[in-house]
This record gives sequence, structure tokens and C-alpha cells, in this order.
Amino acid sequence: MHEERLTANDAVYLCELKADCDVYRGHFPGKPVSPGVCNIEMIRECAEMLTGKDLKINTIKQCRLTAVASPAICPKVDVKVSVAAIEGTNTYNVVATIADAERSYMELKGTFEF
Amino acid sequence: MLYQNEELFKLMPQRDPIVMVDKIHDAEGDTAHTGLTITAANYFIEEDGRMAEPGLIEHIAQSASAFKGHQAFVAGEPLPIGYIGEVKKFHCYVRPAVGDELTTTIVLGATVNGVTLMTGETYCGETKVADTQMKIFVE
Repeated sequence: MHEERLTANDAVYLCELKADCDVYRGHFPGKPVSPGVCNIEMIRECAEMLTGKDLKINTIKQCRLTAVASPAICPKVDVKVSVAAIEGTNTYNVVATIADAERSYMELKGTFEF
Repeated sequence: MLYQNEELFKLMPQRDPIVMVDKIHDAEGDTAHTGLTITAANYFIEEDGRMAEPGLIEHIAQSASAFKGHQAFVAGEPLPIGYIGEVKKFHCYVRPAVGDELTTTIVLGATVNGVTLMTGETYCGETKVADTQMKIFVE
């Protein structure tokens, strides 16, 4: 993974989708497709790196899965994460996208709590 | 109980290690009640013994997938493969732990151009765990 930090609250993480990941045995047998929820988990983990805190997904206001992702289609993707602390709470507003040069795979808006 | 464990495999394409529903308690009209017993081997269990929130989304999505599979099976139609198209208004109230028994109510809405709207609500006993709306693309 490679991190390009834009500001204290924005970064882009170059993430690899590993074809040998165990999940593809079951999703789906003979037809490896990255589970959309694993891409959401990737966003959560990138947000943890950006903030340096353990984060829980409180809400997802909207998450659009705009294309099917798999190690064959997109071996590497850019996960772009922006966070904004909500004053007086332990919560961040989070906006994230997953994309490569070809297309966008995911757009997410939510609130993550530490 | 309509189906449990491997009986669900005729209704859904997901297999080990990412099977996230293991029961359909009942299904009538647009509503089904499903379940999952959370084991230590569950793919989404974290170091603290609790489930990562995306596991709850996958549980609700697979519950809907199995429910649609049941409808297709009863109608004698081929098994659909569904993909999550959109997650909307997801809330996680508590992360369930190993040993917890999840019970989920799935309500399917209209299907337009192969996209089904649905809502899911998950409880552990009396405690609400999560709820969400989703759009599922069916292939």
C-alpha cells in the first residue's frame, strides 16, 4: 500500500486487490468478485490510517457501488478518503471513493466514530 | 424453520468462508425472517471478538439474496445472483459478538429494471443491531 497524504484530513491510498485472498473461494466459486462490503471495509481501514484512530462505522448515509470490482478487473485501486471531525462528538463525517484510471467502483458518505 | 445451514446453498451462490446467513425462519409475501449464529470462524470477526460493521451489511444482503433464491426456487425459476448496488441509511447500533444469534427481517420492495429495493433490520434478542436500505442488482 502506498499513501499520498493531501492534507491532514485527506489522503489517497493505493490498495492492491489480492487474487489469492481467501474470500474469493466463496464469492463466488469459479467467479471471483470482490464483495462490495469488503470495499467498504477497505475504506474504514484507510480512514483509520488517516486519523490514527480505531473507527467504527456508525452510519452510511449513502454508498453507491458503481462497478463490479475483482483482482482481474482492477488489481490496484485508489481509495480516496476525506474526514471532517464533527465538533463536540467522537465522530467524523467521512467521504470516500474507490476508483482506478478506468472507472469508479464506490462512492461512500457516512459517519465513523472513534 | 424453512432452511438452515447447507440447505441454503440451493438458494444462494455464496460459499465458505463468506457465508453470512444460516437460517430462513419463515418467508411470506414480501417479508422473510432470517438468522445467523456468529462463530469465531466468521470472516468479519475482529480481534476483539466482535463483528466488523460490513459483516452486518453482508448478512442483510445475503439474507435478501437467499430470500429471492427461495422465491425463484418455489417458482421453478433459475437461481438469481444479486449484487449490492447501493447501501442507504445504514445504522450500526452495536457490534455483535461471537456466540450471538442474529435475527433479521427482510422486506423486499419493487423491482424495476432488475434492481430490487429492500429494507433489512437486524436484532440480537431484544437489542437492535443494525438497519439499512439497499438496492440489489439481480443478474
